[in-house]
Amino acid sequence: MVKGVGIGFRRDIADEIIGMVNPSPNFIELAPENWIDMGGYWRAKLDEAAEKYPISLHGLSLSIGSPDELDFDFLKKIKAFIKQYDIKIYSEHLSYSKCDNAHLYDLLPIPFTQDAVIHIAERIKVVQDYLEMPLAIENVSYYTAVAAEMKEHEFISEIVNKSNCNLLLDVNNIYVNAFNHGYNTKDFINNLPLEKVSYIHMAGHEKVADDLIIDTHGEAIIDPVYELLKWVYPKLNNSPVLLERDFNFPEINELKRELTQLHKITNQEEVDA
Amino acid sequence: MLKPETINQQSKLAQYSRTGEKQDLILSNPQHVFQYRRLVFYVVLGIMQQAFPIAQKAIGIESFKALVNEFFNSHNCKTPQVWKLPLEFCNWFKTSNQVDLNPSYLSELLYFEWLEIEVHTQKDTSTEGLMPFQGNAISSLRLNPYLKSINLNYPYHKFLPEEWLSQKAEYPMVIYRGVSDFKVHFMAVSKFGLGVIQFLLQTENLTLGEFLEILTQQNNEAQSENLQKQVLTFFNQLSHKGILFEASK
Repeated sequence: MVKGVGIGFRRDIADEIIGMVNPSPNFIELAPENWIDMGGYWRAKLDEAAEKYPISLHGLSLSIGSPDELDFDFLKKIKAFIKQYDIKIYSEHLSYSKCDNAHLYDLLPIPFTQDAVIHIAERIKVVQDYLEMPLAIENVSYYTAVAAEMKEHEFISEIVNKSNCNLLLDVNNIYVNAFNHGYNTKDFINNLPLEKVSYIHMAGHEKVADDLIIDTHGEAIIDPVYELLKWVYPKLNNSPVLLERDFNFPEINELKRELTQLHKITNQEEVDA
Repeated sequence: MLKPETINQQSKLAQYSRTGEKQDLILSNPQHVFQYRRLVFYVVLGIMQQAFPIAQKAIGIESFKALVNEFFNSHNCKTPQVWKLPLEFCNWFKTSNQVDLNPSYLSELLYFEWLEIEVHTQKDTSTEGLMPFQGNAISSLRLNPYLKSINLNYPYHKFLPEEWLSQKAEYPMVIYRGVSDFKVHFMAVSKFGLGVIQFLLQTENLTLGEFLEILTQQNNEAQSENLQKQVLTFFNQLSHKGILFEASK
Protein backbone atom coordinates (compact mmCIF):
# COMPACT_ATOMS: atom_id res chain seq x y z
CA MET A 1 0.00 0.00 0.00
CA VAL A 2 1.45 3.36 -1.04
CA LYS A 3 0.77 5.87 1.74
CA GLY A 4 2.66 8.35 3.88
CA VAL A 5 5.85 9.87 2.54
CA GLY A 6 8.05 8.30 -0.12
CA ILE A 7 11.19 9.07 -2.05
CA GLY A 8 12.28 8.72 -5.66
CA PHE A 9 14.39 5.59 -6.13
CA ARG A 10 17.44 6.75 -8.09
CA ARG A 11 20.54 4.72 -8.84
CA ASP A 12 22.91 7.26 -7.32
CA ILE A 13 21.29 6.80 -3.93
CA ALA A 14 19.83 3.30 -4.29
CA ASP A 15 21.87 1.74 -1.47
CA GLU A 16 21.22 4.67 0.85
CA ILE A 17 17.48 4.41 0.24
CA ILE A 18 17.46 0.67 0.81
CA GLY A 19 19.29 1.13 4.09
CA MET A 20 17.45 4.27 5.20
CA VAL A 21 16.18 4.41 8.80
CA ASN A 22 14.83 7.14 11.10
CA PRO A 23 12.98 7.98 9.05
CA SER A 24 12.74 5.43 6.32
CA PRO A 25 10.44 6.21 3.41
CA ASN A 26 7.01 4.60 3.44
CA PHE A 27 7.33 3.84 -0.25
CA ILE A 28 9.56 4.47 -3.24
CA GLU A 29 8.74 5.79 -6.69
CA LEU A 30 10.54 4.99 -9.92
CA ALA A 31 10.27 5.60 -13.64
CA PRO A 32 9.36 2.25 -15.23
CA GLU A 33 11.23 3.20 -18.42
CA ASN A 34 14.49 3.07 -16.50
CA TRP A 35 13.94 -0.46 -15.19
CA ILE A 36 11.87 -2.42 -17.70
CA ASP A 37 13.95 -5.06 -19.57
CA MET A 38 16.90 -4.47 -17.31
CA GLY A 39 18.68 -7.37 -15.68
CA GLY A 40 21.85 -7.79 -13.68
CA TYR A 41 23.04 -5.56 -10.89
CA TRP A 42 20.30 -2.95 -11.15
CA ARG A 43 17.50 -5.47 -11.37
CA ALA A 44 18.87 -7.09 -8.21
CA LYS A 45 18.91 -3.67 -6.51
CA LEU A 46 15.33 -3.00 -7.59
CA ASP A 47 14.23 -6.37 -6.26
CA GLU A 48 16.02 -5.68 -2.99
CA ALA A 49 14.19 -2.35 -2.69
CA ALA A 50 10.88 -3.98 -3.66
CA GLU A 51 11.31 -6.43 -0.79
CA LYS A 52 11.41 -3.51 1.59
CA TYR A 53 9.09 -0.86 0.17
CA PRO A 54 5.85 -0.60 -1.82
CA ILE A 55 6.51 0.96 -5.23
CA SER A 56 4.68 3.63 -7.19
CA LEU A 57 5.43 4.29 -10.86
CA HIS A 58 5.95 7.70 -12.40
CA GLY A 59 6.31 7.39 -16.15
CA LEU A 60 8.28 9.53 -18.57
CA SER A 61 7.57 8.30 -22.08
CA LEU A 62 3.86 7.58 -22.40
CA SER A 63 3.52 11.00 -24.03
CA ILE A 64 -0.17 11.26 -23.25
CA GLY A 65 -0.41 14.69 -24.90
CA SER A 66 1.23 13.68 -28.16
CA PRO A 67 -0.42 13.92 -31.57
CA ASP A 68 1.22 10.52 -32.28
CA GLU A 69 -0.54 7.21 -31.70
CA LEU A 70 -0.27 5.56 -28.30
CA ASP A 71 2.49 2.97 -28.17
CA PHE A 72 0.81 -0.29 -27.18
CA ASP A 73 4.02 -2.31 -27.25
CA PHE A 74 5.30 0.01 -24.59
CA LEU A 75 2.03 -0.09 -22.63
CA LYS A 76 2.16 -3.87 -22.68
CA LYS A 77 5.53 -3.74 -20.96
CA ILE A 78 4.21 -1.22 -18.44
CA LYS A 79 1.29 -3.49 -17.68
CA ALA A 80 3.55 -6.49 -17.11
CA PHE A 81 5.80 -4.42 -14.86
CA ILE A 82 2.79 -3.22 -12.87
CA LYS A 83 1.73 -6.80 -12.36
CA GLN A 84 5.22 -8.03 -11.49
CA TYR A 85 5.74 -5.45 -8.74
CA ASP A 86 2.12 -5.21 -7.58
CA ILE A 87 1.92 -1.51 -8.41
CA LYS A 88 -1.08 0.46 -7.15
CA ILE A 89 -0.18 3.94 -8.43
CA TYR A 90 0.91 4.72 -11.97
CA SER A 91 1.25 8.39 -12.80
CA GLU A 92 2.34 10.25 -15.90
CA HIS A 93 2.93 13.83 -16.99
CA LEU A 94 0.35 16.04 -18.64
CA SER A 95 2.76 16.84 -21.43
CA TYR A 96 4.22 15.22 -24.53
CA SER A 97 7.63 13.71 -25.07
CA LYS A 98 7.18 12.17 -28.50
CA CYS A 99 6.16 13.84 -31.74
CA ASP A 100 6.49 13.10 -35.45
CA ASN A 101 7.44 9.54 -34.52
CA ALA A 102 10.48 10.62 -32.51
CA HIS A 103 11.04 10.52 -28.77
CA LEU A 104 12.45 13.64 -27.12
CA TYR A 105 13.07 12.34 -23.58
CA ASP A 106 11.80 15.48 -21.89
CA LEU A 107 8.43 17.04 -21.20
CA LEU A 108 7.08 19.56 -23.70
CA PRO A 109 4.06 21.74 -22.91
CA ILE A 110 0.80 20.90 -24.64
CA PRO A 111 -1.23 23.77 -26.15
CA PHE A 112 -4.04 24.55 -23.70
CA THR A 113 -6.83 24.07 -26.24
CA GLN A 114 -10.25 22.43 -26.23
CA ASP A 115 -9.33 19.96 -28.95
CA ALA A 116 -6.29 18.90 -26.91
CA VAL A 117 -8.55 18.38 -23.88
CA ILE A 118 -10.77 15.99 -25.84
CA HIS A 119 -7.82 14.24 -27.47
CA ILE A 120 -6.00 13.68 -24.18
CA ALA A 121 -9.08 12.70 -22.16
CA GLU A 122 -9.82 9.99 -24.75
CA ARG A 123 -6.26 8.72 -24.62
CA ILE A 124 -6.28 8.59 -20.83
CA LYS A 125 -9.47 6.53 -20.96
CA VAL A 126 -7.85 4.12 -23.42
CA VAL A 127 -4.78 3.77 -21.19
CA GLN A 128 -6.88 3.24 -18.07
CA ASP A 129 -8.97 0.61 -19.80
CA TYR A 130 -5.89 -1.17 -21.09
CA LEU A 131 -4.07 -1.12 -17.76
CA GLU A 132 -7.24 -1.81 -15.79
CA MET A 133 -6.29 0.83 -13.25
CA PRO A 134 -6.61 4.59 -12.91
CA LEU A 135 -3.89 6.84 -14.25
CA ALA A 136 -2.84 9.88 -12.22
CA ILE A 137 -1.74 12.81 -14.35
CA GLU A 138 0.68 15.42 -13.12
CA ASN A 139 0.42 19.17 -13.62
CA VAL A 140 3.81 19.88 -15.21
CA SER A 141 6.08 22.88 -15.02
CA TYR A 142 6.48 24.84 -18.26
CA TYR A 143 8.53 27.81 -19.30
CA THR A 144 6.27 29.18 -22.00
CA ALA A 145 2.69 28.40 -22.90
CA VAL A 146 2.19 27.36 -26.54
CA ALA A 147 -0.81 28.55 -28.55
CA ALA A 148 -2.93 28.65 -25.39
CA GLU A 149 -6.67 29.27 -25.76
CA MET A 150 -7.65 28.56 -22.18
CA LYS A 151 -6.17 28.82 -18.71
CA GLU A 152 -3.93 26.08 -17.37
CA HIS A 153 -6.22 25.19 -14.46
CA GLU A 154 -9.18 24.91 -16.87
CA PHE A 155 -7.13 22.67 -19.13
CA ILE A 156 -6.11 20.34 -16.29
CA SER A 157 -9.55 20.28 -14.67
CA GLU A 158 -11.39 19.50 -17.89
CA ILE A 159 -9.06 16.64 -18.73
CA VAL A 160 -9.36 15.15 -15.24
CA ASN A 161 -13.15 15.46 -15.25
CA LYS A 162 -13.66 14.17 -18.79
CA SER A 163 -11.34 11.19 -18.41
CA ASN A 164 -12.15 10.46 -14.78
CA CYS A 165 -8.46 10.02 -14.08
CA ASN A 166 -6.69 10.98 -10.87
CA LEU A 167 -4.60 14.06 -10.36
CA LEU A 168 -1.02 14.04 -9.22
CA LEU A 169 -0.65 17.42 -7.58
CA ASP A 170 2.91 18.61 -8.02
CA VAL A 171 3.13 21.42 -5.48
CA ASN A 172 6.57 22.56 -6.60
CA ASN A 173 5.38 22.81 -10.21
CA ILE A 174 2.55 25.08 -9.11
CA TYR A 175 5.03 27.30 -7.31
CA VAL A 176 7.37 27.32 -10.33
CA ASN A 177 4.58 28.05 -12.81
CA ALA A 178 3.03 30.73 -10.62
CA PHE A 179 6.38 32.50 -10.53
CA ASN A 180 7.12 32.04 -14.24
CA HIS A 181 3.64 32.96 -15.47
CA GLY A 182 2.51 35.38 -12.80
CA TYR A 183 -0.43 33.74 -11.10
CA ASN A 184 -1.45 33.13 -7.51
CA THR A 185 -0.67 29.62 -6.26
CA LYS A 186 -3.65 29.31 -3.92
CA ASP A 187 -6.15 30.61 -6.46
CA PHE A 188 -4.74 28.13 -8.95
CA ILE A 189 -5.04 25.21 -6.53
CA ASN A 190 -8.57 26.20 -5.53
CA ASN A 191 -9.57 25.93 -9.17
CA LEU A 192 -8.38 22.35 -9.49
CA PRO A 193 -10.54 19.26 -8.83
CA LEU A 194 -8.91 18.55 -5.49
CA GLU A 195 -11.21 15.63 -4.78
CA LYS A 196 -9.38 13.82 -7.60
CA VAL A 197 -5.91 14.28 -6.09
CA SER A 198 -4.50 10.85 -5.31
CA TYR A 199 -0.82 11.61 -5.08
CA ILE A 200 1.47 14.57 -4.37
CA HIS A 201 4.96 15.52 -5.53
CA MET A 202 7.36 17.81 -3.69
CA ALA A 203 10.72 18.90 -5.06
CA GLY A 204 13.31 21.64 -5.27
CA HIS A 205 13.97 24.00 -8.14
CA GLU A 206 16.51 26.55 -9.33
CA LYS A 207 15.96 30.23 -10.06
CA VAL A 208 18.09 30.85 -13.14
CA ALA A 209 16.99 34.41 -13.97
CA ASP A 210 14.93 37.21 -12.45
CA ASP A 211 11.92 35.97 -14.38
CA LEU A 212 12.56 32.23 -14.60
CA ILE A 213 12.64 29.21 -12.29
CA ILE A 214 13.60 25.82 -13.70
CA ASP A 215 12.07 22.70 -12.17
CA THR A 216 15.38 20.88 -11.67
CA HIS A 217 14.66 18.41 -8.85
CA GLY A 218 18.26 19.15 -7.97
CA GLU A 219 17.89 21.34 -4.90
CA ALA A 220 16.24 21.12 -1.49
CA ILE A 221 12.56 22.02 -1.17
CA ILE A 222 12.20 25.68 -0.22
CA ASP A 223 10.03 26.95 2.63
CA PRO A 224 7.28 28.57 0.47
CA VAL A 225 6.71 25.19 -1.20
CA TYR A 226 6.45 23.49 2.21
CA GLU A 227 4.03 26.23 3.24
CA LEU A 228 1.92 25.61 0.16
CA LEU A 229 1.74 21.89 0.92
CA LYS A 230 0.86 22.65 4.53
CA TRP A 231 -1.98 24.85 3.31
CA VAL A 232 -3.37 22.43 0.74
CA TYR A 233 -2.84 19.09 2.49
CA PRO A 234 -5.91 19.30 4.78
CA LYS A 235 -8.04 19.75 1.66
CA LEU A 236 -6.82 16.43 0.24
CA ASN A 237 -7.56 12.81 1.09
CA ASN A 238 -4.40 11.93 2.98
CA SER A 239 -2.73 11.41 -0.35
CA PRO A 240 0.79 9.98 -0.34
CA VAL A 241 3.57 12.53 -0.74
CA LEU A 242 6.72 11.90 -2.73
CA LEU A 243 10.06 13.64 -2.33
CA GLU A 244 11.61 13.98 -5.79
CA ARG A 245 15.36 14.37 -5.99
CA ASP A 246 16.94 13.50 -9.34
CA PHE A 247 20.29 15.32 -9.44
CA ASN A 248 22.87 16.98 -7.24
CA PHE A 249 22.29 14.50 -4.46
CA PRO A 250 23.12 15.73 -0.95
CA GLU A 251 24.19 13.66 2.04
CA ILE A 252 21.46 11.20 2.95
CA ASN A 253 20.82 13.05 6.23
CA GLU A 254 19.68 16.05 4.21
CA LEU A 255 17.11 13.91 2.39
CA LYS A 256 16.04 12.43 5.72
CA ARG A 257 15.51 15.95 7.05
CA GLU A 258 13.23 16.66 4.08
CA LEU A 259 11.33 13.42 4.64
CA THR A 260 10.86 14.38 8.29
CA GLN A 261 9.48 17.77 7.27
CA LEU A 262 7.04 16.09 4.91
CA HIS A 263 6.01 13.57 7.57
CA LYS A 264 5.25 16.46 9.91
CA ILE A 265 3.09 18.18 7.33
CA THR A 266 1.15 15.05 6.49
CA ASN A 267 0.67 14.45 10.21
CA GLN A 268 -0.40 18.09 10.66
CA GLU A 269 2.50 18.83 13.00
CA GLU A 270 4.52 22.04 13.21
CA VAL A 271 7.23 22.23 10.59
CA ASP A 272 10.78 23.17 11.62
CA ALA A 273 12.02 26.45 10.21
CA MET B 1 -9.52 14.93 -32.75
CA LEU B 2 -6.69 17.41 -32.67
CA LYS B 3 -6.97 20.43 -34.93
CA PRO B 4 -4.24 20.81 -37.55
CA GLU B 5 -3.05 24.05 -35.93
CA THR B 6 -2.60 22.29 -32.57
CA ILE B 7 -0.65 19.46 -34.20
CA ASN B 8 1.35 22.03 -36.11
CA GLN B 9 2.38 23.89 -32.96
CA GLN B 10 3.29 20.66 -31.16
CA SER B 11 5.31 19.50 -34.13
CA LYS B 12 7.13 22.82 -34.39
CA LEU B 13 8.04 22.88 -30.71
CA ALA B 14 9.33 19.32 -31.00
CA GLN B 15 11.29 20.23 -34.12
CA TYR B 16 12.79 23.26 -32.41
CA SER B 17 13.73 21.16 -29.39
CA ARG B 18 15.43 18.60 -31.62
CA THR B 19 17.31 20.97 -33.88
CA GLY B 20 17.45 24.39 -32.23
CA GLU B 21 16.21 25.84 -35.53
CA LYS B 22 13.77 28.70 -35.07
CA GLN B 23 10.12 27.83 -35.71
CA ASP B 24 6.96 29.84 -36.12
CA LEU B 25 5.51 29.27 -32.64
CA ILE B 26 2.79 31.11 -30.73
CA LEU B 27 4.38 31.53 -27.29
CA SER B 28 3.53 33.40 -24.12
CA ASN B 29 7.22 33.69 -23.16
CA PRO B 30 9.26 33.41 -26.36
CA GLN B 31 12.44 34.35 -24.51
CA HIS B 32 12.23 31.09 -22.55
CA VAL B 33 11.56 28.60 -25.32
CA PHE B 34 15.29 27.89 -25.73
CA GLN B 35 15.11 26.08 -22.39
CA TYR B 36 13.36 23.23 -24.18
CA ARG B 37 16.13 22.88 -26.72
CA ARG B 38 18.71 23.00 -23.92
CA LEU B 39 16.93 20.47 -21.68
CA VAL B 40 16.08 18.01 -24.44
CA PHE B 41 19.54 18.05 -26.02
CA TYR B 42 21.37 17.67 -22.72
CA VAL B 43 19.34 14.61 -21.77
CA VAL B 44 20.45 12.91 -24.98
CA LEU B 45 24.03 14.18 -24.79
CA GLY B 46 24.28 13.04 -21.17
CA ILE B 47 23.15 9.54 -22.05
CA MET B 48 25.66 9.31 -24.91
CA GLN B 49 28.52 10.66 -22.81
CA GLN B 50 27.78 8.08 -20.16
CA ALA B 51 27.55 5.28 -22.73
CA PHE B 52 30.60 6.18 -24.83
CA PRO B 53 33.31 7.67 -22.59
CA ILE B 54 36.19 6.18 -24.62
CA ALA B 55 34.80 7.37 -27.96
CA GLN B 56 34.21 10.83 -26.57
CA LYS B 57 37.75 11.04 -25.25
CA ALA B 58 39.18 9.72 -28.51
CA ILE B 59 37.49 12.20 -30.85
CA GLY B 60 37.23 15.10 -28.39
CA ILE B 61 34.26 16.58 -26.57
CA GLU B 62 33.28 19.09 -29.27
CA SER B 63 33.35 16.55 -32.11
CA PHE B 64 31.38 14.11 -29.99
CA LYS B 65 28.81 16.77 -29.15
CA ALA B 66 28.47 17.65 -32.84
CA LEU B 67 27.97 13.99 -33.66
CA VAL B 68 25.23 13.60 -31.04
CA ASN B 69 23.61 16.77 -32.35
CA GLU B 70 23.63 15.39 -35.91
CA PHE B 71 22.18 12.11 -34.66
CA PHE B 72 19.37 13.81 -32.76
CA ASN B 73 18.59 16.13 -35.68
CA SER B 74 18.44 13.50 -38.35
CA HIS B 75 17.32 10.35 -36.56
CA ASN B 76 13.85 9.70 -35.16
CA CYS B 77 14.59 8.19 -31.76
CA LYS B 78 12.48 5.05 -31.52
CA THR B 79 12.91 3.68 -28.03
CA PRO B 80 10.79 5.03 -25.17
CA GLN B 81 13.59 3.90 -22.85
CA VAL B 82 16.41 6.39 -23.07
CA TRP B 83 19.03 4.00 -21.69
CA LYS B 84 18.60 1.92 -24.85
CA LEU B 85 19.25 4.92 -27.10
CA PRO B 86 23.03 4.31 -27.37
CA LEU B 87 22.28 1.24 -29.53
CA GLU B 88 20.26 3.44 -31.90
CA PHE B 89 23.22 5.79 -31.97
CA CYS B 90 25.57 2.93 -32.94
CA ASN B 91 23.25 1.76 -35.69
CA TRP B 92 22.66 5.29 -36.97
CA PHE B 93 26.40 6.00 -37.07
CA LYS B 94 27.14 2.81 -39.01
CA THR B 95 24.73 3.77 -41.78
CA SER B 96 25.21 7.54 -41.81
CA ASN B 97 27.64 9.60 -43.87
CA GLN B 98 29.38 10.38 -40.57
CA VAL B 99 31.31 7.13 -40.99
CA ASP B 100 33.42 8.75 -43.73
CA LEU B 101 33.93 11.95 -41.76
CA ASN B 102 35.27 10.32 -38.61
CA PRO B 103 38.18 8.00 -37.73
CA SER B 104 37.77 4.54 -39.21
CA TYR B 105 37.72 2.91 -35.77
CA LEU B 106 34.75 4.92 -34.46
CA SER B 107 31.91 2.68 -35.61
CA GLU B 108 33.51 -0.38 -34.05
CA LEU B 109 34.46 1.49 -30.87
CA LEU B 110 30.90 2.72 -30.35
CA TYR B 111 29.60 -0.82 -30.76
CA PHE B 112 32.29 -2.18 -28.43
CA GLU B 113 31.27 0.32 -25.75
CA TRP B 114 27.61 -0.55 -26.29
CA LEU B 115 28.37 -4.25 -25.78
CA GLU B 116 29.51 -3.49 -22.25
CA ILE B 117 26.13 -1.86 -21.55
CA GLU B 118 24.27 -4.69 -23.26
CA VAL B 119 25.98 -7.36 -21.20
CA HIS B 120 25.65 -5.35 -17.98
CA THR B 121 21.92 -4.78 -18.45
CA GLN B 122 20.99 -8.04 -20.20
CA LYS B 123 17.81 -9.57 -18.84
CA ASP B 124 18.40 -12.23 -16.23
CA THR B 125 18.06 -15.85 -17.31
CA SER B 126 17.99 -18.94 -15.18
CA THR B 127 21.40 -20.39 -14.40
CA GLU B 128 19.92 -23.28 -12.48
CA GLY B 129 21.79 -26.51 -13.07
CA LEU B 130 25.04 -24.84 -14.11
CA MET B 131 28.07 -26.36 -12.40
CA PRO B 132 31.74 -25.47 -12.65
CA PHE B 133 33.37 -27.09 -15.68
CA GLN B 134 35.19 -30.23 -14.55
CA GLY B 135 35.96 -31.88 -17.86
CA ASN B 136 33.17 -34.44 -17.56
CA ALA B 137 32.83 -35.99 -21.04
CA ILE B 138 29.09 -36.61 -20.80
CA SER B 139 28.02 -33.25 -19.37
CA SER B 140 26.80 -30.44 -21.63
CA LEU B 141 29.16 -27.56 -22.20
CA ARG B 142 27.38 -24.36 -21.22
CA LEU B 143 28.67 -20.84 -21.74
CA ASN B 144 27.93 -17.98 -19.40
CA PRO B 145 24.56 -16.70 -20.71
CA TYR B 146 25.73 -13.06 -20.41
CA LEU B 147 28.49 -13.18 -22.97
CA LYS B 148 29.36 -11.44 -26.24
CA SER B 149 32.36 -12.05 -28.46
CA ILE B 150 33.91 -9.64 -30.90
CA ASN B 151 36.96 -9.64 -33.15
CA LEU B 152 38.17 -6.08 -32.77
CA ASN B 153 40.21 -4.41 -35.46
CA TYR B 154 41.78 -1.86 -33.14
CA PRO B 155 43.42 -2.27 -29.72
CA TYR B 156 41.34 0.07 -27.56
CA HIS B 157 42.33 -1.92 -24.51
CA LYS B 158 46.05 -1.95 -25.20
CA PHE B 159 47.12 1.36 -26.72
CA LEU B 160 46.46 5.07 -26.54
CA PRO B 161 43.96 6.46 -29.10
CA GLU B 162 46.68 8.04 -31.24
CA GLU B 163 48.20 4.57 -31.80
CA TRP B 164 45.00 2.71 -32.69
CA LEU B 165 45.11 3.29 -36.44
CA SER B 166 48.74 2.20 -36.79
CA GLN B 167 48.09 -0.92 -34.71
CA LYS B 168 45.21 -2.20 -36.82
CA ALA B 169 45.10 -5.99 -36.57
CA GLU B 170 42.85 -8.64 -35.05
CA TYR B 171 42.09 -8.46 -31.33
CA PRO B 172 39.56 -11.13 -30.37
CA MET B 173 37.75 -10.33 -27.20
CA VAL B 174 35.09 -11.80 -24.92
CA ILE B 175 32.85 -9.55 -22.82
CA TYR B 176 30.82 -11.20 -20.11
CA ARG B 177 28.95 -10.55 -16.89
CA GLY B 178 29.72 -12.48 -13.74
CA VAL B 179 26.82 -14.83 -13.06
CA SER B 180 26.72 -13.96 -9.38
CA ASP B 181 28.64 -10.69 -8.97
CA PHE B 182 27.01 -8.90 -11.97
CA LYS B 183 30.35 -7.29 -12.88
CA VAL B 184 31.33 -6.94 -16.52
CA HIS B 185 34.68 -8.49 -17.44
CA PHE B 186 36.76 -8.43 -20.59
CA MET B 187 39.02 -11.24 -21.72
CA ALA B 188 41.40 -11.14 -24.65
CA VAL B 189 41.43 -14.52 -26.41
CA SER B 190 43.30 -16.05 -29.34
CA LYS B 191 41.69 -16.30 -32.74
CA PHE B 192 41.39 -20.04 -32.11
CA GLY B 193 39.74 -19.35 -28.75
CA LEU B 194 37.29 -16.95 -30.36
CA GLY B 195 36.42 -19.64 -32.91
CA VAL B 196 35.77 -22.16 -30.14
CA ILE B 197 33.54 -19.75 -28.25
CA GLN B 198 31.60 -18.79 -31.35
CA PHE B 199 31.15 -22.47 -32.17
CA LEU B 200 29.80 -23.13 -28.67
CA LEU B 201 27.48 -20.14 -28.99
CA GLN B 202 25.98 -21.69 -32.10
CA THR B 203 25.59 -25.19 -30.67
CA GLU B 204 23.35 -26.20 -27.81
CA ASN B 205 23.99 -28.81 -25.16
CA LEU B 206 27.06 -30.24 -26.84
CA THR B 207 29.01 -32.51 -24.47
CA LEU B 208 32.75 -32.27 -24.07
CA GLY B 209 33.01 -35.72 -25.64
CA GLU B 210 30.99 -34.63 -28.68
CA PHE B 211 33.00 -31.43 -29.00
CA LEU B 212 36.32 -33.30 -28.97
CA GLU B 213 34.98 -35.78 -31.50
CA ILE B 214 34.06 -32.96 -33.88
CA LEU B 215 37.56 -31.57 -33.42
CA THR B 216 39.06 -34.97 -34.27
CA GLN B 217 36.90 -35.36 -37.38
CA GLN B 218 38.04 -32.01 -38.73
CA ASN B 219 41.77 -32.54 -38.23
CA ASN B 220 44.37 -35.26 -38.66
CA GLU B 221 45.46 -37.40 -35.72
CA ALA B 222 48.59 -35.48 -34.80
CA GLN B 223 46.81 -32.14 -35.03
CA SER B 224 43.84 -33.44 -33.07
CA GLU B 225 45.89 -34.54 -30.11
CA ASN B 226 47.55 -31.14 -29.91
CA LEU B 227 44.26 -29.29 -30.39
CA GLN B 228 42.52 -31.34 -27.73
CA LYS B 229 45.21 -30.33 -25.24
CA GLN B 230 44.82 -26.69 -26.27
CA VAL B 231 41.06 -26.90 -25.96
CA LEU B 232 41.15 -28.46 -22.50
CA THR B 233 43.63 -25.84 -21.30
CA PHE B 234 41.42 -23.11 -22.79
CA PHE B 235 38.27 -24.59 -21.24
CA ASN B 236 39.94 -24.64 -17.83
CA GLN B 237 40.85 -20.97 -18.28
CA LEU B 238 37.27 -20.16 -19.27
CA SER B 239 35.97 -22.08 -16.30
CA HIS B 240 38.30 -20.23 -13.95
CA LYS B 241 36.98 -16.91 -15.34
CA GLY B 242 33.33 -17.91 -14.94
CA ILE B 243 32.76 -18.18 -18.70
CA LEU B 244 32.38 -21.95 -19.12
CA PHE B 245 30.18 -24.26 -17.10
CA GLU B 246 28.78 -27.74 -17.49
CA ALA B 247 25.34 -29.15 -16.86
CA SER B 248 23.82 -32.61 -16.75
CA LYS B 249 22.52 -33.59 -20.15
